[in-house]
Amino acid sequence: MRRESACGNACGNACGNACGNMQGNMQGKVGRKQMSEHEVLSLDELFELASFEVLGLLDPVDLVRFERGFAASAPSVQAEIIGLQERMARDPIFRDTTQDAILGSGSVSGVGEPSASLRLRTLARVIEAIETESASAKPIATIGPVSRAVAVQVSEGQSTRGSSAITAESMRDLISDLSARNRESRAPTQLVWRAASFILLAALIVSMFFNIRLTKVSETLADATMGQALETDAIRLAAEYSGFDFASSRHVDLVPVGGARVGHVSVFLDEKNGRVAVHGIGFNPNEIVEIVLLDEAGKILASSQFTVAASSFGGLWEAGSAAIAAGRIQIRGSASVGSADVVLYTQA
Amino acid sequence: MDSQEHIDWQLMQRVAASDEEAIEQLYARFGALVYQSARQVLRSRAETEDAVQEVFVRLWRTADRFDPHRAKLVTWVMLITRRHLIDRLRRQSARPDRAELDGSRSDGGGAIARPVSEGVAEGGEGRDRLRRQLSRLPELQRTVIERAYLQGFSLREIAAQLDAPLGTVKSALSRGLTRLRELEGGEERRGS
Repeated sequence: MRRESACGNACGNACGNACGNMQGNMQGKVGRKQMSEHEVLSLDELFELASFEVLGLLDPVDLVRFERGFAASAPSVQAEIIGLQERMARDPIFRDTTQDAILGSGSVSGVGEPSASLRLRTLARVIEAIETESASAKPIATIGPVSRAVAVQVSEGQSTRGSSAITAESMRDLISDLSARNRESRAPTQLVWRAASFILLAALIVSMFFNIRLTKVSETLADATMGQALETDAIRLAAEYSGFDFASSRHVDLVPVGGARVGHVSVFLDEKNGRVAVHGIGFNPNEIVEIVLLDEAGKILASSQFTVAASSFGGLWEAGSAAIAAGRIQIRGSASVGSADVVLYTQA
Repeated sequence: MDSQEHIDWQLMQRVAASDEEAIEQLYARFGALVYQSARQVLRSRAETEDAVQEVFVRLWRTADRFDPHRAKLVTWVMLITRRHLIDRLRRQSARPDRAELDGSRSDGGGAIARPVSEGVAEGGEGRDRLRRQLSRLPELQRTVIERAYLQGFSLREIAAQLDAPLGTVKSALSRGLTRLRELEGGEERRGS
């Protein structure tokens, strides 16, 4: 009554399951139950599941139930289960021990024994599996120079898993080689070059940033200066133009001569009062320009000079009614500041 | 851990590390057991030898999972063997027989209904003995053992096939195996 010793006593049918395990001498039913995490598993059922497990007959659900029951059972019960499973594993009922295996191989290794050649073929199959696995575990490529030990391994197709493939000596070689590579990679000159590269890269980025900022500031300043200059000019001209009769004046637009200039000159002629209002833009700063009134023969009837402030000039000019009525207008200037011998703009 | 358990554990650690010598030792200890277990359920010697090779590959792959506190090494080997055999039997049952393809089988039952006397015990004294002993069992016990042990069906599958409660199937299997063992003991006694 082996199981009674584990369960304490034999009792009535408490678990409701036939207790027909491989220890065929078991007749009674064991009523004591033990707790697993989620359910009560009777010892009968635990032993039954143990016997099924050895035969590979447990599905995943029962396997989990058995594992939990085993883990929750007392050490003495566990020992008994382990013993039961061991006896079942060795039980001849689960083996064909009468056999014909040696036929054809010439081996006389004994009844029920596999042939000697099967041993060699099995070992070869396992080694092949080992080599296949270690080959699939190799890296596709390596970055940087391949170390000597690694190169030897790869070239010889050595396994990285087996102790027979990697000896202690080759492992030491590998470790020392890796250490040497680490030392090389940390050499001072290499570190200096790396640091210099980083510094140069950082400096380049900073200079690009400041360059962009400087360009933006310059553009802002230029815009502000130009705006201020134009504003000053406009204020001055507004003062000068006060009292000029634009409503009754004749407006004349001058066009550039020769296409050298891109500016524009507007002239208002007040014949009645003999006054001329002129405004030009698109000139060079400090350039001296001359406005002249010519008769049909090209003789100068009247003229006046203006100095360009920023990029424009303008003002009132007392030319006289006769000259205004008879003449046509030209703006003269020169390539060099201070002279006025080239016709820049003329009446269309 | 007693000394034998420690030795077994060390052996499996070396197997897990692909130590060829350890694999040879493992084969020397359990090669016959694996072979005989496979021979009992597989149809031909060639198939059996192929299964043995695959079982040892499987043992190498799972060697690092062996826990001597959970089972003896022989139990572990048997468990791996049985799982492999069941996988193999299931693959076979999912594949039609050549005989079926040739149309020579007309029972309509296919692999599920194939009795052990046709499907497995095709020759050899050991298989004849098993067939003889199975034939002396009650029908339910015989059917359950054939389908579970020799054809690789799970107990739940058998319960569904037979439209019987799972507990009944488990009980029949337990009783059948017990009875089988008693018959085996009786034959041994007569033989001696």
